[in-house]
Amino acid sequence: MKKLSTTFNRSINGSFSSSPLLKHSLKGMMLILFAMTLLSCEKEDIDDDGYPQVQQGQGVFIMNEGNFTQVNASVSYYNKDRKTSYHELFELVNGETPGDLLQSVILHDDQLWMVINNSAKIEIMDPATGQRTGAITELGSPRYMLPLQAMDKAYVSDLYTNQVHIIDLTTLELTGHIPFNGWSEALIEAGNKVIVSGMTSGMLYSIDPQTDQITDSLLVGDYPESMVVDDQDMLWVLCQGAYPDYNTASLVKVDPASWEVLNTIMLPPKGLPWSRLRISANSQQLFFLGGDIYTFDLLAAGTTPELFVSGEGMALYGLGVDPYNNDVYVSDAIDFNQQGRIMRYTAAGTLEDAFDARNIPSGFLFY
Amino acid sequence: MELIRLIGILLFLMPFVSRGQEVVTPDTVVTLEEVWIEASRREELAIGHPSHQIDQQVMQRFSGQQLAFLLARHSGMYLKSYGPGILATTTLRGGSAGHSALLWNGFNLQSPMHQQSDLSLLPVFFMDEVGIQHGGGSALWGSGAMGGAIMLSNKPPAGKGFQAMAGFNANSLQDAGQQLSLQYKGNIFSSSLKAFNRNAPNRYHYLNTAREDAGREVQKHASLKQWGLLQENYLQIGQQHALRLRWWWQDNDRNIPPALQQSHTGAFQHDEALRITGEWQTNLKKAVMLWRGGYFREELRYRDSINLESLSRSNTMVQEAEVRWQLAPQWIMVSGANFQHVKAIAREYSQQHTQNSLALFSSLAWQPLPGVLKAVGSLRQEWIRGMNIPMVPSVGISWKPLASFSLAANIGKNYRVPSLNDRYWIPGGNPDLLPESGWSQDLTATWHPRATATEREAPAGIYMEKTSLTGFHRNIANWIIWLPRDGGMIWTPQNVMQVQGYGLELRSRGGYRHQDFTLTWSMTYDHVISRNTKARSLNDASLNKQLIYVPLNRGGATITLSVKNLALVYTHQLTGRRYTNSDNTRWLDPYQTGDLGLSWSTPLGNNFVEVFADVINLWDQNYLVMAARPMPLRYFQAGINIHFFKNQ
Repeated sequence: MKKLSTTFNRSINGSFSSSPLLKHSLKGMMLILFAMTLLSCEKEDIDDDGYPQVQQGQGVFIMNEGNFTQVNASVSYYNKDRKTSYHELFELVNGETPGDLLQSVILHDDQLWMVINNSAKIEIMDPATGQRTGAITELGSPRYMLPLQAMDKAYVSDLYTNQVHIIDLTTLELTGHIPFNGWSEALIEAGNKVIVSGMTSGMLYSIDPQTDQITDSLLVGDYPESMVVDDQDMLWVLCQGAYPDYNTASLVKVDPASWEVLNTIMLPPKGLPWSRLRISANSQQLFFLGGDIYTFDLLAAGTTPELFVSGEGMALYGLGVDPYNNDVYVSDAIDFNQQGRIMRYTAAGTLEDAFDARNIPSGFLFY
Repeated sequence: MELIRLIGILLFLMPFVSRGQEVVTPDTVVTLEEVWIEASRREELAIGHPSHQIDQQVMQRFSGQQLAFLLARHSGMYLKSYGPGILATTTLRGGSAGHSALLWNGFNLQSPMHQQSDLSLLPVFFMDEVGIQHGGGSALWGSGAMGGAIMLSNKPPAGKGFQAMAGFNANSLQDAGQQLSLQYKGNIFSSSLKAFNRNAPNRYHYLNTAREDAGREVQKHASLKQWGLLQENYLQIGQQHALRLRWWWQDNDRNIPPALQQSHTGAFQHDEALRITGEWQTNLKKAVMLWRGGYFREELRYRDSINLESLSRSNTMVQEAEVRWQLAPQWIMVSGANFQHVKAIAREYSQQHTQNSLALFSSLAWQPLPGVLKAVGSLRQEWIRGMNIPMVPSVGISWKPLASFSLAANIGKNYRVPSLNDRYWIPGGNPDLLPESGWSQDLTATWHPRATATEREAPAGIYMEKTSLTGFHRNIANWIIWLPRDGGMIWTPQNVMQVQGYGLELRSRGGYRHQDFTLTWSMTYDHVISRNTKARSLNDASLNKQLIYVPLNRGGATITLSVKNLALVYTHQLTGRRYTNSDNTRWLDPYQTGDLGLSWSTPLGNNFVEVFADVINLWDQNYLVMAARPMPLRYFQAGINIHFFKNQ
């Protein structure tokens, strides 16, 4: 070693002190070698087949609707720590796209259940591997699904066929339907009830899951598009408003147990439909879209919705709130005919990251 | 600007003002046909815009087909087709479907509601000539002729006395069609009646590429049933007057197939059209006057399998007056006025809408050296209430320095007014839309060494009949595109698109002469760049990207081998990549297709019979013209045309 150091030093510059430099050099080399191993570990954030390493709490699956009739729905994944994104994952692993128009997704039984509206089916994907693990077909024009607690069945709302579908979650079969007045949209369990919103009628319906019968209805507002439940077991309903002005849009607070409307907050008239009601994990804030991103404080009494982030110059389409750290994700569908852009904001409203997804990203599933 | 308009109006009025001058009458032999100045003779004024006719033989063999089928294979143009018998629209020079005027004997058939023409609804049988003019022609034809125009024309019957033709065709997709024409040609009166009927289940095979196994499937929901009548009358009154009356009725029903992986069984559409036109021409000593009128009524009924229903109806009345005046031996002036009254109603309109338009147009043609040098300047101004329409000029020059070589150039401005649907559709219609407009430039070089293949004194061997190379450039502003309003879910049309287009068009034909057989070939090649030059929103990545469904390269060739009364034809087409995403991140792959055909003709007593057989998509290629709409795999068709009382 010493001999080497002497030779080394002499070959470069006699003024170096011998061993400390070499020790540093060798350490340096070892560090470099170690870092290189790390780097190659970095490349192993994807499997051999190209599917990313997915571990709970690390990222978010993004559902890209795709263009109507073009069969280009797709699934993207974003790793929050690495700030890297991966795309077309379903197609990568299964050889074909999920279908035509991926409307919504839920996590059930540690699988992703994706409702494909224009292909009349639900595709089930394993989030760890991307493998398709099942499918339910012939579902008319499905929109959203709700698995019913401890009953091994689920309801699926529908756009065109005037029914709510009943599916068996173990056999993956369509077992029945509930006749419905027009377009059924959002589904939720609250106040020991199963509640479905009717877009055509502007009402909420309570369904008895034992008998699959509608037992009650409640008028809430024009086009109740999305619903959330807070930690007080109160139900919040976002009503889109009616064409052409959408000036009847409202945020409605409902007590599901007593089945009554407690409060209706009219939303500012903006001439466009409101959508995507979301709740933070700590149940302190509501978020929703109305051209811009709005927030509503659930703790303070008598508040009004406030602007969270401006959507000017963009066509904001999908919204998600990270239950792990309260980050807000929003998608810009741009002209609906190119790759959409995802923006990640912190809970304070500062832009943390932005990346491209695929055509018309709309759903965020934090996994 | 106002001064220019004033000059334009004065130019228009000139032919009516100065009458007393001595003029040399045009040097033409007066016959019924040539007495007529075809409205399409306005093409003579379209100097600098290359125009290509579809070969008559090709039209004969495909007389049982729709215009979409014919143009997809023999025009060089990329047709946006959703499948056989389904919607097919044009993309001349990278423009939208509303950028090609569809002129039927000079009348624009574009629907005032959506300004497109479905080329699957136009039977080849009803046309005597089909030509494609490349390049904007708004100065001559008005709104909509931005990328070019498709010219359809009818001629008086040829021959003498009574004639009839019956045609039958069928194919392996279970389609069958029949055509019948009855004609009478007299000295002062001619008339013709054409009828066609088509029952096309269109059960074509395709590959379902949305499935992993890309299985072979049969289309079950693409049937098309259509029938139509075209009746024409030509009357010469005295030595100076001639009258033409035409009426065309057509009825179409079709099932529209679902796209790949779409669950519903598909939609149903009913289209019907009534088109009536009348033309009166008066020949004076120094001028020719033309009065033209047309009435067009169209109805479209669409129903979805989930019971969405839409009904659209439009009535258009057109009146046009034109004077063609020989000012001096070298100068011809054409001036006219056009008035249009449109009434349209749709389920999605809040009320019936009416639109009136008045246009004045004028052209001045100067021919200092007949056959060698010609220049034409044109001006057109249209007025529609509530719309600011630019005055559009156009200047063209053609020069033939050598017997076998000529050059032509054109600079002009073109425009397209927003359609009634753009303005009044609910939701989203925008009544404040501006017209699209822009300048275009064309330069064409043509080599024409030999006239035709039948020149007896020409030596045997390979020859080139005509080759033309065109370079064009255009900028279009205020292009209308339906986009979501900022941040909203409602789509409205906006004048936010700006497009730059440029490219090359090559057309060539020729042949090979041999004592025992003749070989002819023709080829087309188009290289079109058409790109978005303005970002429309904050994250818009479509800036400087090629527009969707505009292939950068498209080429085709047809070779015909004729021996006695037998002919073998092979057509090959290459189409390059077409983007389906405006940011060019998704596309449809390039494809090639080939068709092979055989035809045989023979006299049969006093009659003449032609028999055709074709293999379409010979190489069984699976290809997509539109996303998720697979085209038919290989299929066969055959037909027979019998011309009665016509020998050769």
